[in-house]
Amino acid sequence: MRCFKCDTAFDVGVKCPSCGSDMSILKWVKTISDKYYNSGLDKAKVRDLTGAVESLKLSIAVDKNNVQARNLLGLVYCEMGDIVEALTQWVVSKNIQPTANIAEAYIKQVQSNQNKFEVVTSTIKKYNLSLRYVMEGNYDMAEIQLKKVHSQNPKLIKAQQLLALLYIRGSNYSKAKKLLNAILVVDHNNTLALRYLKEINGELPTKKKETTHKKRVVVESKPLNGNEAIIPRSSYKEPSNGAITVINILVGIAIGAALIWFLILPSRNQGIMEEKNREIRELSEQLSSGNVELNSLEAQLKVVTSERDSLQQRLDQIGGTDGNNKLLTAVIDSANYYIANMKTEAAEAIVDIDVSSLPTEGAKALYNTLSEETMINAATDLYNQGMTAYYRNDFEKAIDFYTRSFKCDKTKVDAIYYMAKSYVSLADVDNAKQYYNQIINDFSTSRYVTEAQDYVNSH
Amino acid sequence: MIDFDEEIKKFKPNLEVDEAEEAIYKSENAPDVADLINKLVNGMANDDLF
Repeated sequence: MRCFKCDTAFDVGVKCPSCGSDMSILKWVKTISDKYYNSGLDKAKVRDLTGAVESLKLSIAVDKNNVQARNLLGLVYCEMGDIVEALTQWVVSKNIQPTANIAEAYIKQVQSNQNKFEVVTSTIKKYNLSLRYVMEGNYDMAEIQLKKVHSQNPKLIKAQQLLALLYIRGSNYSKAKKLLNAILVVDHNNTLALRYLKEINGELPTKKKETTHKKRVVVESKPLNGNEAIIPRSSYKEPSNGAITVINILVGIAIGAALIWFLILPSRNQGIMEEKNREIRELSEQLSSGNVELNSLEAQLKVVTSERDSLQQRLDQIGGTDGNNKLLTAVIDSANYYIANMKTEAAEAIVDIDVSSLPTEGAKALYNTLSEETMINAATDLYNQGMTAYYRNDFEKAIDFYTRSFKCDKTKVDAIYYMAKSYVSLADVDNAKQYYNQIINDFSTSRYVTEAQDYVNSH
Repeated sequence: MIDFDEEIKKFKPNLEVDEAEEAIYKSENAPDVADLINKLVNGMANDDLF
């Protein structure tokens, strides 16, 4: 006890030996704490661990320096499987009273077996995990974890309580009862266990006790004389009443049916289930091996298809339906058109050809010559035809001409502009916007930009 | 009849090893009745001074 005025420590008497202050109230507080400690000790002795915890917590709440209460509380927690709580109390106790304190021995004993300590602390983690599983509705996982906890740390009462609750939820009353009784062996007055047990006993049908009172009639036997003849009893019995016979037969049938239902069918069903499970396993194995084979075949098919396409391509090149022959044919056609002074047709014959794909330098040179001579003229000619169609309100035709014109001359912004206007006239807003955007992006210095921007902003 | 959802609310997580240090600190520094009386008495003593 410490004086609240001068902080002098003292144990004897109610007055501070240093300043003489009256410490009777603190003495009274200590007495209360000791009373709670004694109550906790009595309860712990009769294994009322839940009650002991309550009393000892009160003792510490009144006087937190009550080392005896902390040590006993740690012991009770340890017995309930709560090893970390126990260590907490013992460590605090040791901090309050570092010397001549049994808490030190308890701590050493716990820490001496490190493996066991780790197993026990891991069970606490598993219990917390199980609680989380239950909160998430994952009851099966929680049950699995709690069974592991129970096997590794059978003292952890909270885990047993939670597992019992899960069993009750699943109407597995017999298992729950077993667990709850196990809890009560350790903690005789565990409130939760007692309550659950009461509820379970209310759920289970009560067995009626049959009391039969049989009266034995004692027959006094007379002493035998020589004249009496002893006749052995006949084992013949008269046939019983028909109704009773029928009832007996029915009862026998019912018992037989019950035996079949409860004894024979389950094992038969189990046998069938095992057989089915084995078949399922075999089928799964076949399916998985089939899938592997299928994947392998699919891969082979891909390879073969690719090879075929490649060969087809080569064949086409050789046969002339595609590839270089087609390109050369187009160039020759263009040359023929040019010679016939059909410049627009000459340009359109080669407009889709990429000059770099031509196989020979001669072909490339001819292409370039034809391109220079015909493209610009063709673009202008097609553009003019487009304008003619535009003013005749034949917008679709106009669009076609403008498209071909732009293909021949990629600088012809007018073709793009009138293409956009044609789409506007056709009320095709999307295409109109597309070509107006092309003007904005690719021809930002043209005179059409403002109008294009206005249209795009307003649509 | 046991209401599972109500019962499960009563279950709280256990203290784990990594939480022990904080628990020890809180336990050591939590005020008890003696501390409250000390505070009251010292508070009354300070009032007397004024």
